[in-house]
This record gives sequence, structure tokens and C-alpha cells, in this order.
Amino acid sequence: MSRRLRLAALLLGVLPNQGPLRGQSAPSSPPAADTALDRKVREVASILRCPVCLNLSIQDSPSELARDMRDVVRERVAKGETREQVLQYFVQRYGEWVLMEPPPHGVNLLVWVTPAVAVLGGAALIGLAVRRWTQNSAAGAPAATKLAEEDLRRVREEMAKGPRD
Amino acid sequence: MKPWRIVVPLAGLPLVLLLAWGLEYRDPHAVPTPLVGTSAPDFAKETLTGDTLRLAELGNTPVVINFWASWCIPCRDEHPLLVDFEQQFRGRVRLVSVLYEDTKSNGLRWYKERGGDWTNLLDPRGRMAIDYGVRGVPETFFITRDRHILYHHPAPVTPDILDLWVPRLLMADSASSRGS
Repeated sequence: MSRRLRLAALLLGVLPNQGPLRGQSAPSSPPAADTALDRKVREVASILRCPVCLNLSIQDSPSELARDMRDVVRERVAKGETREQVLQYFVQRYGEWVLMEPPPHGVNLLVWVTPAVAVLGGAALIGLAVRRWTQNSAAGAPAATKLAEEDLRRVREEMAKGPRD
Repeated sequence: MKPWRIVVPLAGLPLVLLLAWGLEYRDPHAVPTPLVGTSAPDFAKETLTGDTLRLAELGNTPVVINFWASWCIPCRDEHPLLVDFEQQFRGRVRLVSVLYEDTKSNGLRWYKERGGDWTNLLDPRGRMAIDYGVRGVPETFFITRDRHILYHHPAPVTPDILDLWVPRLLMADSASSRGS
């Protein structure tokens, strides 16, 4: 695969990252302190909403409550709890609201279905409009042809008369 | 009239209704807690006086847990009401305050200046607050004798709130009265 094609595929997210592109320097290795525990904590903390912020995860929030919640995540992950168990702990206390992405069930389904319905509805409207325009153009064509033929006939007649003095 | 003149505005109606429903909760921090009706999370916390208190040690008395901080302005307005409430219901309802994200010295100074001598727990890293799903201070939980959360008030308590919920708390001694 050519470098350009591979770059495009990576940008579109259709190809797993298979390492640096040729000519690129290899990414710097993660810091020594960045353990598997740190990565797991970051992953879970990125899913949880900071209760005192505007649409920020506890991973991104600088608030004290978010810091305390990250500590709780770390303690629970270190004790061997799975991602789902940690998330469940917070959902039981703050509700599903605490999840950055609402799970797709019940009323939450609207969040996932509405954009798709809107896109499909919009496409249908555009399709109908285009169809109407093309039908109008087709209906108008015979009149235009008739007019052109009329013009041609008159031109021929004038030419047949020859040049005027 | 052409049908699309009706269909297109009607297509937007569900979206408008959804937005209106979402705006029902004006304060995004005042989302109802799922803890109402469930068992109150246990705790073992150091008090301002240096002892340790567990929920189980509070006996067969309804409990009101109030999360607060000395840096919280609404807590200053709420405090005199809590002083009156504690004096009026002493022996019938146990008031426990939790000092959230604050220092012991600030807590001691607060009570010295403003009065009140009920139990106050320290929660320096917010573990108890997170266990109770607290979003900010002040927040108050009304806990029945059988240690279920009857009501959660995510704002300063008012005389109306106490008048409404304290009698219910005193009467609520069975599972049938939970979550009302």
C-alpha cells in the first residue's frame, strides 16, 4: 500500500495503526510511570462525566471532585475490578447521567436514532426535490424544442430570400 | 395547501418536544439521585473531635446527613436553620454533618463562631461524598431508622423542606414508606 493511501486510510480510521509511516520518526515511548493501571484508569475516567463541570470527563476536569473520583477509579481498578464494575459503582450513585455517552436503551435510544432518522429524512427530501426539478425540466423541453425549430425555420426563410440591398 | 407545508414543521415537532423535556431540569446539577429508596452507604469517618463514627453506631434513630464546607456561601445561610433543627429534634433525629473538601481547623472555627455541637465528620478526599453521589454542597440526605435513603435535597435546606420531610422521616420505619 502506498504511503499516501495508507495515510488516507489511517485518517479515515479504516486501518488499524500499524506503527509509524515510513519517513516518520517513531513515537516516543511512554513514560516509565505510565503503567497498565494508569492506562486503565485513564480509559475508565474518560467515560465518566465530571458532576460539577460542563460536559467534561473526570479525566479532563481539573476540579477537586473529578480528582477524587479519579482516585476512586484507581483504587477500584487496582483492587481488580473490571471497567463495568467501576462504571456500575458510579452509575448507582450518580445515575446514567454520569456516563459521557448514554447507553443505547429506553429514552436514550433517541440520542442514537434521531441523527440517523434526520439524515435519512433529509436525504429523502433532497431526493424528492431533485426528482421534481428534473420532471419540470423534462416537461419544459418540448416547448423549448418547438421554439428552436420555429426560429430555425424563420432563419432558413430569411436566408432563402437572399441578401437585402 | 401542499402537504409538505404541514409535514416539514411536524417533522421538527418531536425535536422541540425533546428539547422542552430536557429543559425540565433547569439546573444540570439537580439531577435526581438514584440512591433514594436504597440502603444508605455505610461509613467510618473521623469526627471533628477526633473520634470515629460509623453509620451502624447511630442506633435506631432517623439520621439527617448534611454535606457542607466553610467555603460554601449557601451553607452560611443554612447553618442557623440546622442549629434550630438540631435543638428541636435532639433525641428523635440524629443530625450528622460532613465537612466536604475542607480542613479540620476551618470546621472547628466555623462551629466556634456560629454555634452548634452535633457530630461532624471529616471527608478530606471526598470518599463519603462520592459514596453518596454528592455533586456539590450543601446537600442533605434523610435516612430512615432502617437505614434507607428517604429523600435527597441537592440545595440548602429550608423550613419548608424540614416541615415536609422530618415528619415523614419520623413515621418512616418500614420499607413501604420509602421513596415517597
